[in-house]
Amino acid sequence: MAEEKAVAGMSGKNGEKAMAGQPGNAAEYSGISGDGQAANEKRPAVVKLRNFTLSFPMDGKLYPAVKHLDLEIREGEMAALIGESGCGKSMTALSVIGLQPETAVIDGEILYDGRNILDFSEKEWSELRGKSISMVFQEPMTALNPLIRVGRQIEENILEHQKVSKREAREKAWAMMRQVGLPDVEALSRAYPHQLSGGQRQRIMIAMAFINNPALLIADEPTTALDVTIQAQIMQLMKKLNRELKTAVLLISHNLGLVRSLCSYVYIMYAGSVVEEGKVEEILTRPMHPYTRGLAAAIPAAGKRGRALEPIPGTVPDLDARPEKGCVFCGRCARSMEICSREDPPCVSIEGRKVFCHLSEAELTGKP
Amino acid sequence: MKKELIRIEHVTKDFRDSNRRRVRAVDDLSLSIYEGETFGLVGESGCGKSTTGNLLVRLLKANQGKIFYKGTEISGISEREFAKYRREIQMVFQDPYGSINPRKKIGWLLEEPLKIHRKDLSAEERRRMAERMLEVVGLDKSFGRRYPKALSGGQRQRVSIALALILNPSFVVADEPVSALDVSIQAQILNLLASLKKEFSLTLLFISHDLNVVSYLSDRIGIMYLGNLVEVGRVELIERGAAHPYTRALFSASERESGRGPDEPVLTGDVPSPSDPPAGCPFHTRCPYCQEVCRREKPVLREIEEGWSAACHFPFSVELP
Repeated sequence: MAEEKAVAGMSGKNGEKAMAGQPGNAAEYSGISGDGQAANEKRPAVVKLRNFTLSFPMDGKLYPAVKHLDLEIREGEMAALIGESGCGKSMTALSVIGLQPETAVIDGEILYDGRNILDFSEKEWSELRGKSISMVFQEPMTALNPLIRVGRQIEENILEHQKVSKREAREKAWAMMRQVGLPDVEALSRAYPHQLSGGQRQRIMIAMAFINNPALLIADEPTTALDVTIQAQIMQLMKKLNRELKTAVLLISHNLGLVRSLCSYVYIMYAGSVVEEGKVEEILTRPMHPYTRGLAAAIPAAGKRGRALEPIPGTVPDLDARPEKGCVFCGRCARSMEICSREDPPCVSIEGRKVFCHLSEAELTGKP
Repeated sequence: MKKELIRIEHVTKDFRDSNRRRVRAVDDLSLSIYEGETFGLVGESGCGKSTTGNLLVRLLKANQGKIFYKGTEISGISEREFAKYRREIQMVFQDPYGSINPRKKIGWLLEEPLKIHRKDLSAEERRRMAERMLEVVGLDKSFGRRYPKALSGGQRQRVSIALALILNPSFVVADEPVSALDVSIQAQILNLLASLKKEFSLTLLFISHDLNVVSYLSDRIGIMYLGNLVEVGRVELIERGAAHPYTRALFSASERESGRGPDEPVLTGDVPSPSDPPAGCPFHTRCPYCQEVCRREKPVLREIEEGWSAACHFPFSVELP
């Protein structure tokens, strides 16, 4: 207990200071976040999705869950993919690590190291997955093997990808467990997943995901199953490892606010398409796409007490009820025009961000 | 002035875990809820907030303590005597998939409580009332002929609310009613709850882990930790600067979530197990301001100013010892 406090406390404080902009870390940090867009542009992309489409066949027809997606994650960057359930964010995440459902029909490219990983064989995947690209899932209880001690699960992941002895693997596993802030590591490594708390299990998942020093980590709602005070711990840990190990992170979440202090770039997805993308700070403080605006206005807060929230009317259309042409959001959009249901929205570039909408730049920004 | 609708006096609820160890879910809790207010109960999983809600609607019975409704004790009475309070005290559950019978049509479900509690109504009157209730919660009356599985999550939660309100209760316990919903749908349901509360002059106990949601909707809030109420008071007082360090950690974590800057240290460690709670203050194992006395003596709720109390030996601590 005492050790946990010490270790976790240390990581907590470090993260806190860096976020507050301590000079030492700030320089390194700003390259990743904040005003680091210029620096970011120079970083090569780890993974690029080009015109990526993922569809499900039903009654001889294809229904896209993800449509014409262009997305890239740069080295050492923390990017976020935000959207509500059914927007295709998890399908995108699973495809990047080659775990999309077998029934899915895929089009376009996902480039890693110049190669299209969508063409990879299962053998090629087994070399890549867990080593260069790894993943943290939402529910660690279902992602961990319930019958194997957690220490061994981490060791196996090392032995699979690194040429080390069993003893070295154990030492590495323990060192990683300490790095993710777990207490009393020797005893804890002999525990089964069900004997740990939710926060501890997620720390184990994170240790496993980072153990082979991957170039990219995909985190699919990593804290959604956790309590808020534990959530804050886990998010700080992810940021710390992202900085220390220079691993690029793609964070998948439904929570727009969660990403502010962590990520530099954000993609907002709705019903299979990206509707707006850009620097986190700018999109959060000044959302432009009607959907992003709607999301921000719908979030309750003490400051809005006594006033009605502005919900987005209707619901996300089901896969088989989405329009083939035109804007996916137009059925729920208060500002939709005649053209919106007829033509796909163009990409409007405004001050470094992209908005996919038929509204003019002046209408989007509210400036004449 | 303010009239007490619900009073909870020194209520304790124990469970047994799989090893037959005693797990104290609610520990000597005392609380009043006033007529016409929305009281928000907040805390993390396992803090006892849902148990408290279940005790109030009598899905559970307390081991110790008393519960009063409009001045009458309802905790010690028999099941038969309690029946007349059931139509006054209703509940909306978190999971609209688990709390609605999937084999019955929505209309049948809405008429069922009327058959039991409103024997004065004819079949035609019942049907009309069910249809009107659907319209009140923003659904077309044709939903009465549908099965729950044909509804989306948001629509089901509207049905749960209609089910809770059809008997025209005065007190409704809503246990995480929007936690399973997407943000855009969540806002629809929160608006609906706020307007129905006015329309039906309800008193609402709103239970949630989400401080943003709770402080948006509530007049007063109570913060629970390990079965204990650690702070209670009017929202606008507490949000200006909470007295209890746990409340401040919660506020700071949810502010971080809503995108504002963090100012409190992130809490370390996990919540202790309720089967083995720490001695002294239940929060001392994670408290950044813990002192010697906190490990020894359990603090009681003390008034800070009118309408605001906290259970902390050193309220408003900001300097680390």
